Amino acid sequence: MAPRDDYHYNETVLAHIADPHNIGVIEDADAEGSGTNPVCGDEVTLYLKFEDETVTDARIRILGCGAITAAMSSLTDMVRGKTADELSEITAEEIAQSIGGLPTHKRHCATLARRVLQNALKSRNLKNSP
Amino acid sequence: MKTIYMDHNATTPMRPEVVSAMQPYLGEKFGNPNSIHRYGRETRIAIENARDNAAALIGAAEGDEIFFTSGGTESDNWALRGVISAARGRGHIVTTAIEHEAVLATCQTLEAEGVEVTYVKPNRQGRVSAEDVATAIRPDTKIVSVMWGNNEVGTVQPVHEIGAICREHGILFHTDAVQALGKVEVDVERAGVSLLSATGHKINGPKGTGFLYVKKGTELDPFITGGGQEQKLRSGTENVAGIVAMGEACRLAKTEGPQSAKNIAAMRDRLENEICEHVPDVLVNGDTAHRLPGTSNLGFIGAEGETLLIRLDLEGIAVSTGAACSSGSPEPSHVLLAMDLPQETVQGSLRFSLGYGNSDADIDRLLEVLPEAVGKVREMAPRLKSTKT
Ligand SMILES: Cc1ncc(COP(=O)(O)O)c(C=O)c1O
Repeated sequence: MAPRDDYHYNETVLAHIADPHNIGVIEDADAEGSGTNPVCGDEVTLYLKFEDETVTDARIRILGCGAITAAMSSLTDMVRGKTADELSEITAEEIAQSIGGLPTHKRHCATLARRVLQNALKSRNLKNSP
Repeated sequence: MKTIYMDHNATTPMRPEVVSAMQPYLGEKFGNPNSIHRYGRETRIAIENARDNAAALIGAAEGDEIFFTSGGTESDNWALRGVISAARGRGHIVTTAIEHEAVLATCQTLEAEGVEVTYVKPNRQGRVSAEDVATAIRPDTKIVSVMWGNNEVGTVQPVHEIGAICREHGILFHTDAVQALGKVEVDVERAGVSLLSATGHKINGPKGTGFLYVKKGTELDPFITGGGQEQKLRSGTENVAGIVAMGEACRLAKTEGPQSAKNIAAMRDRLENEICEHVPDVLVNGDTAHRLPGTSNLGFIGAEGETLLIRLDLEGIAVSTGAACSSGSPEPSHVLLAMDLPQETVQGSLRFSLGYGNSDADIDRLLEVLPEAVGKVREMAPRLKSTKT
């Protein structure tokens, strides 16, 4: 193949943007985290439901570009069945890889996705602490 | 899937007449126009004919005021660097905050080399005022560079007034007319222009072709040196096939431009009116009284431009966004930011640019798809934003 296209989205990313997974809100969420990118105005909220210490449901709300949409959409699939400890280990790189990678100028979106996940985990700890 | 192209400010399809015009020069007519023999004479005649067509399109007095380049970017670079170099690398430039990167990045490089630059800000409609340009002029100003029409919002700048001001001050006036050419009347004599940048691929010609108009008597150093082609000012064996094709595109733009501009403006107005009617919370970015005929830049509040773009793309409709990150830079459009638009307008902006080949049926199709796409993207938004109107 010609030199790698570091500009366009791959087919996996495009499919997520066309039909993002798990859009919505969990009213009685056990964890909820938000994040924004002040430069472009992207805003994301992630809701998580835990049962027996593992994630059983994950939902998102998004106002953001294609990359953050795809990253969050994929993240909602990745988190299912995982424990909080396992979630805390998920890296931005893993999120980007789960959608086949992102163009260099969009990598910050995977970082934002990870930060939103971390914020959600923090909120769960707060809820759990007496 | 039938695809619809509404991104003519990015580039345009070549017209069939243009493709046929260049065909012989990709094949049997391969001579170097600088050769003395018949092969050379044949291609020389062809590029001089193209030069005359380019000159006629912009109202240049002489064909030999047209210098072929590789496109708009080179023309912009050459105009600015060539003037500053002829002024021994010193002085001051007046330009605007909404120029194409070809001008802005060149100015920034020149700043690093000690040249001073004033970037005049536009109003909220993306138009600079001639008075502000006049105020920015200093005794050491060597050149004023203001684009004719903006690529993102389509705002047409007051070039005639600015030209008059420059003439009064005896300062060179460069205009990047890449987007305006073939769409509005461009007459370098009437506008008082000393240097004008143009590109072939925005007027249904080929990519990698363009020209710089240099008014007789303008002090300009060469930017590309070598064998001394183009009156010793722009070296390199001419891109004959490309030049011939651009010449044909110029000829067509001259003869058909005024009528097609009217048709395209009517389609654009319909597109804009119907979108505003069928989609809530849409703002028009730009100056509707001074605008290129095919351009409509709309802000969809509470939505995000790039996701909208991709949803339309998956339906076969190609548009563009000037908003965040999509142009390979993590910053939102410098044009929309310079217009001081609120972030949610910038974030939700889409550019529709119509041109050769578009029809009312294309707009019908867009109107079938767009309202639902906007609705879906808005529904996904976090509650705070989605409840905002
Ligand atoms: C206003 C303006 N100037 C310059 C350019 C650059 O022209 P080119 O692509 O021919 O280098 C463009 C388009 O890309 C443009 O819209």
